[in-house]
Amino acid sequence: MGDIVEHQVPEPLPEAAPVPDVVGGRRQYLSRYVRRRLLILVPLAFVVTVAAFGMTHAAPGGPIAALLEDHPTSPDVIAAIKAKYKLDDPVSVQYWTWISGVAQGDFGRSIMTNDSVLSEITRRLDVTIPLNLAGIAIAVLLGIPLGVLAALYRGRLLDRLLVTVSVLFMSTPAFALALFALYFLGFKAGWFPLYGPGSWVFGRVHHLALPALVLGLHGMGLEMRLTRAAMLEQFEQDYIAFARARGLGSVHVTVRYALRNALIPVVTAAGLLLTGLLTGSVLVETVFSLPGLGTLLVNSVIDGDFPMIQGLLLFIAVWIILINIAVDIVYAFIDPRVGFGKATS
Amino acid sequence: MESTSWGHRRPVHYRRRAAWLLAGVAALLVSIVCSGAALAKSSKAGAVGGTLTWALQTNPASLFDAYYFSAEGSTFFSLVQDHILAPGTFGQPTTGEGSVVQSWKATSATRYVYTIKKGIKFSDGSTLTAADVAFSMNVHRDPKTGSKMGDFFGNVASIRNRGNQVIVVLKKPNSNWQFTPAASPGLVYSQKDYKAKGANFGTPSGMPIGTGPYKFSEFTPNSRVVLVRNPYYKGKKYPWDRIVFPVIPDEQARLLALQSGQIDGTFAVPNNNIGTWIKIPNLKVGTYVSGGWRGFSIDVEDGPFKDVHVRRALAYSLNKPDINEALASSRGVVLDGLPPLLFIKGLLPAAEVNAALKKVNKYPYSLDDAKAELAKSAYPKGFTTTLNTPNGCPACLLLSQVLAQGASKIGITINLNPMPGPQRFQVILDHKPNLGIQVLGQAPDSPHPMQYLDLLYTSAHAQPGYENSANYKNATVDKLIAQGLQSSNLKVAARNALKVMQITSAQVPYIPVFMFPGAWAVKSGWEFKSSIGPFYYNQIWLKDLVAK
Repeated sequence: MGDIVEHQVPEPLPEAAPVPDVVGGRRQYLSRYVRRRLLILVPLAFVVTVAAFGMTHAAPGGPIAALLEDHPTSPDVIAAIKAKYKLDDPVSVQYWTWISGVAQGDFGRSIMTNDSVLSEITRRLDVTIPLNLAGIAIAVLLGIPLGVLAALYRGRLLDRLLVTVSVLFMSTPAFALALFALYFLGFKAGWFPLYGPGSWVFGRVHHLALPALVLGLHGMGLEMRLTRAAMLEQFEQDYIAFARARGLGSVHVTVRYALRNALIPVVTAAGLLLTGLLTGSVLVETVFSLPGLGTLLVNSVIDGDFPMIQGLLLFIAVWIILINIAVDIVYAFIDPRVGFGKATS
Repeated sequence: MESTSWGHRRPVHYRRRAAWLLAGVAALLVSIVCSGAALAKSSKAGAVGGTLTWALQTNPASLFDAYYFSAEGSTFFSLVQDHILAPGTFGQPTTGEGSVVQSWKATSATRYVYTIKKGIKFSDGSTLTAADVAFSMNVHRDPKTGSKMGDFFGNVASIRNRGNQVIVVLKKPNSNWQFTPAASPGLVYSQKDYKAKGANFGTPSGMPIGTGPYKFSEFTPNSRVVLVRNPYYKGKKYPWDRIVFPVIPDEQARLLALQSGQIDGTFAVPNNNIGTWIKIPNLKVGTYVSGGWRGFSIDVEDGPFKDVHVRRALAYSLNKPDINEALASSRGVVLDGLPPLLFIKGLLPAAEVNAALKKVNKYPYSLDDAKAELAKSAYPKGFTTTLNTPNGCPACLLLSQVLAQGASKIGITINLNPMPGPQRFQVILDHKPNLGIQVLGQAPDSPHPMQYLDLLYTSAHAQPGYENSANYKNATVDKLIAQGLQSSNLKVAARNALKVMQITSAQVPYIPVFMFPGAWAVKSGWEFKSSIGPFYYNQIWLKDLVAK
């Protein structure tokens, strides 16, 4: 008779919050963590703006040529434009003028449009945020269930089919997918408008539905493959085997145990999608004629529109930092073992 | 509490949330269906009395032309703002519809007097005054504005109003001035409106008012410009109550929108695909002479390009008719020199023009002639050079590729260096690091025979800040250009232009390849009733649009 080995059944992650005093402690650490990260945001944003300002000014070209667009000109006209936008000032003076304005809430005016940088960015967010959030929602809401399904049917026809589809969507360039959707769903079927962001709520939803679907399908592949890989890893774990041995239902084991533990990499991927949210949809914006932030950034860089580039980069830097903080917080909700500077048990 | 299939209990409020979620999804679906119905309705919106939807290709940066100066922008500016003088089909100044001037005359070679029409009102009900007209030009002269159009007023000594007149005094005689009030810088603004809107003038929160048949009602950058009727406009009433100019940068999307009826027309038909657009059913596509040209400048002071035989060899190596076919579906006009004859033929008898053209050196495509010319040069075995290509311009890239291909057959290696358009234009403005060969494309701002020549050939313009990118200097040519500009008789300008063409054709500082066509496309059953000209965008072009 062999030795008797006492297996200790590993407990799945706690579904409910632990004892109240621990919760209070966690909240305290979480709050401190968020404050610390937010404080880092200020010097980080400062470094980003200094680097961006230096690089933009070091690059050849500049806004004058973009503004004149091959039209007849003369040194007097060029001098007047330079004087208006203070382009002859030393770079350090230009930066100081700009950062002083930012400190007072004035992000300056675009050299190309003469409009307020803040107004331009705000206007574009009106399209970019709903478009990309809808795209990410589609990617997550389709990618996670399909990834779970593929993992459950590992090696079988359904799995192979889903993996193929995910690879197809991941590897097809977004603009190609956009043109395909535009032609078949917009033009041939006539279900969706072919251009523009639409106005009011219904119009906006209708106009953004197709580009959001394109972005969603493009992002879905990544979410699905990550979910599948993470689920397969979880299915190999002992606690899943024991949970099944205890007679728990397949759905319960899959969703409550395996999926919850598999969510960390999936949330990381969603975070990555969110960080790319502001500028990652340039080509889709172009195909669907949408006035998004990505197009604005690309055009500003090409045109050397310093105030706009600075405003956008500052905005994007803050956005990325905030998303990272949000992702860290979500980690804590998914996995109570995640601490913020101190062990919770 | 209730039991779930997973054996856990779920609170009742979960059910409520689910119900709200379902209701939300249902509302969303209803909204999409409703929008679909609206879309179907909007496809018929081009009908007379409704909305005209006319697509733009590029984003209007501003509604103030000091900051946004383009033919596309002028297509809607001209419907909102009258010009000081209205351009005729070929840009000739008129006092007809679209002009705020009753009469005008040049009292001397440097003094122009414009008498303003009475009773014209802006779209806010205020009356147009001569002060507004003077202000509309002076605003571009003011360095504080930083206007892109400042160069149009470089020769102006003063612009002032007196009573119902506006008096313009030039620094020196220049007959090209007569066209300026009928061109883009001639748009009329309200001084009071400009001051009230301050720095926001031209932005979505500061849309300018005008005296034209329509007024701005919405401006969403990179998305659309919307016009509605100007209630104070007393001129001809055009069929549409509302005109929407959506921005559709992608050619395929624009074409599909036109085919599906979601837009009614566009002037943004790419030159190289005119042939394809024409073949598509349910569309009517037409072309017009644009007066714009494409070609190359060759820096006559730079390395191997100092040698005239090298420049001639390059000219022989270009197959211009083939380029015209590839880049303009053969609807352009192959050029032997500048300016395009469009700006000369109306001024001189055909026999005189033809006789002068016989003395213009021509470079028909011939690799043998190209090799023979190169053999006469100091570089008989060829050389290697770089050509900067603006990568936002597909036509420039194709043109550069063709030049490189032809040159490679005679031993000259041209390496293409794609770069952003503004960066490339900066090289021309700075005249450094080196100009070498530059690919060019220009549209006319006036029909004056000397307009292109002054810009490209004048010795004083062969320096930073100007566009003589060939660094061409020739005292005789300078004299001919100055004479042509100073004479009030445009025939003198036309004759001098032909002489300049003869001289420069031998020296090849530029290789003009072709005059590119302009094109329009409208949905089936619509058309432009008369052929539109190179300056249509400064006119109330709606008058020529026939909608059924």
